[in-house]
Amino acid sequence: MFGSRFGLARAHARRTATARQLRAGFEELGPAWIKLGQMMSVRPDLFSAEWVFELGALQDNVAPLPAADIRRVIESEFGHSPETLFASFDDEPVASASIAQVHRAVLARDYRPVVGELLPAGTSLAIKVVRPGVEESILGDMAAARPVIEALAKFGAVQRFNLPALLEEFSASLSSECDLRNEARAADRFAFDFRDDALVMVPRVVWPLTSKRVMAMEFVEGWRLSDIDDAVRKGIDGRALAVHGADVFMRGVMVLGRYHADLHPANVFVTPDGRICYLDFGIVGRTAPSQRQAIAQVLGATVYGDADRALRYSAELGLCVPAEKAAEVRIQVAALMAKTLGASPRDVKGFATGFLGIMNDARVAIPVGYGLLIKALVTVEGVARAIYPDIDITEAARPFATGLIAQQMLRPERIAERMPAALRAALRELAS
Amino acid sequence: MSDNEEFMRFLASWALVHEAADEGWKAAVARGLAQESGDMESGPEAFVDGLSAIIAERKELLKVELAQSADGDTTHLGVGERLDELRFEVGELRGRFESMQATLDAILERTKSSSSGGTPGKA
Repeated sequence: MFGSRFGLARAHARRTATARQLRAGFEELGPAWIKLGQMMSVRPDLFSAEWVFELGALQDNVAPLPAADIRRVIESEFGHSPETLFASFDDEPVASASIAQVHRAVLARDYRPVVGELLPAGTSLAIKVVRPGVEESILGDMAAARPVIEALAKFGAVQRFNLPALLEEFSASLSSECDLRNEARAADRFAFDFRDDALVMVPRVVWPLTSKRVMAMEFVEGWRLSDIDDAVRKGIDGRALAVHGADVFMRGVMVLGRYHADLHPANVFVTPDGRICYLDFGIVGRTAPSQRQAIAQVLGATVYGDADRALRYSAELGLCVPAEKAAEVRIQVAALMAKTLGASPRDVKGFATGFLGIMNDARVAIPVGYGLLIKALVTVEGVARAIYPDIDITEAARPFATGLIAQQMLRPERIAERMPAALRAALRELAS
Repeated sequence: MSDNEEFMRFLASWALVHEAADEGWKAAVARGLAQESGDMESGPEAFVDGLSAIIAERKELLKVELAQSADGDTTHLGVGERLDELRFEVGELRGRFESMQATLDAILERTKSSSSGGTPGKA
């Protein structure tokens, strides 16, 4: 009803169809384009929500390289053969993606990691190795695409994307992803942030066997989310894990100020002892303390269906709706809230897609951090629903959002401002 | 009314306020605990009830923490957290040094191999 009323259903269907074609095209074109698509998938500030969610599902599986090539990278990074560095090394890869390939190995001697208990000799390891020449190859493909992109950038329809700047940003992001020490540091930080959480597991990094192009970490056995039914049959409490996963995300966003921003199903699995294991910390979102207050208000207002308050606090996060469009946007957002969040279970993805669509149609710029957070929230909902289909992710936000809102309400200056009225009300109560 | 009686009346008023507030608080906590999922969104009063229940839970946690510190765990929580953070930063630095050391060893190994004409990458 809402969709047809505002003409959004047709636009949504058109954007979804284009997104599917784009995804298929990128998968066919190969690793460089898969990577480009993945990078686009975390930029809802630039691309339509339909594109972002469709490209987020790009399958990053490529044919593995021969073990000899991977061994050469390890020898070049450490000056020793895998047999010297590890108690054993398996030539058969366990995973192969566009940037890196993963092999199993066994730790030769005890190692005390940055976070967590000692890893004893004999521990199974996952060795992630950057494919030789991958960075140069992808950057080469992008350089070849540059003249086309510069020509495209002159067209009015795509001018607002600033494609040349985007290409530069992708190159920087790619270089960062090809340096595995960045990922290792982010993994340690996440493990430290959740050190007191018995249900969170992060593979421990072995730093003496980690370099720019090789990352050694503990190998963790577990169920992929696609096999979660098997885990539930073995006695894993899917609902509790899904709720806890959502809780971990909200704690990251609203308390710690750091969150895993790329939590798609391939980056999460469930261990046999019922813990959630997190992998791949290539994209980390950040929230400043002042933003956390505003995020809590926006989440609270969204859940209450208060479009006016949600947009007011969104402005504090940099999402500014021009005054002449404010009334129309507010009506559209309120209708969208009623449609997607008014019923149970709430449709967070539907709301996010519709919200970004409204902003896109109104030509309202989405700040980078705001877009990343919306995308991450939807991805977390997808993961939580893969574990337990009936979960309402907004429930997990409640304790954190409530605490932050209460903290704001109870600021001394606010209390001083309201105290006289409160006292008068209390005295009236006593007198009656 | 004598000064003493006025003072006693003031104290009685204070006790009455305290008692009313305490009863109100307990009732709000009870209502908050009884809330079903989603009830907290039904309006400002339900929100305050839900908030009261959350605060009551945190109060119980605080009581446990205080009891633990009274039982001999004298580490102040804030100091403990800061020490943990410091320990992590030192651990992180150690990790970086270990990785740098491995890279330096590899360069040294390659230099030795090339100057002796040996096969690079063998220990």
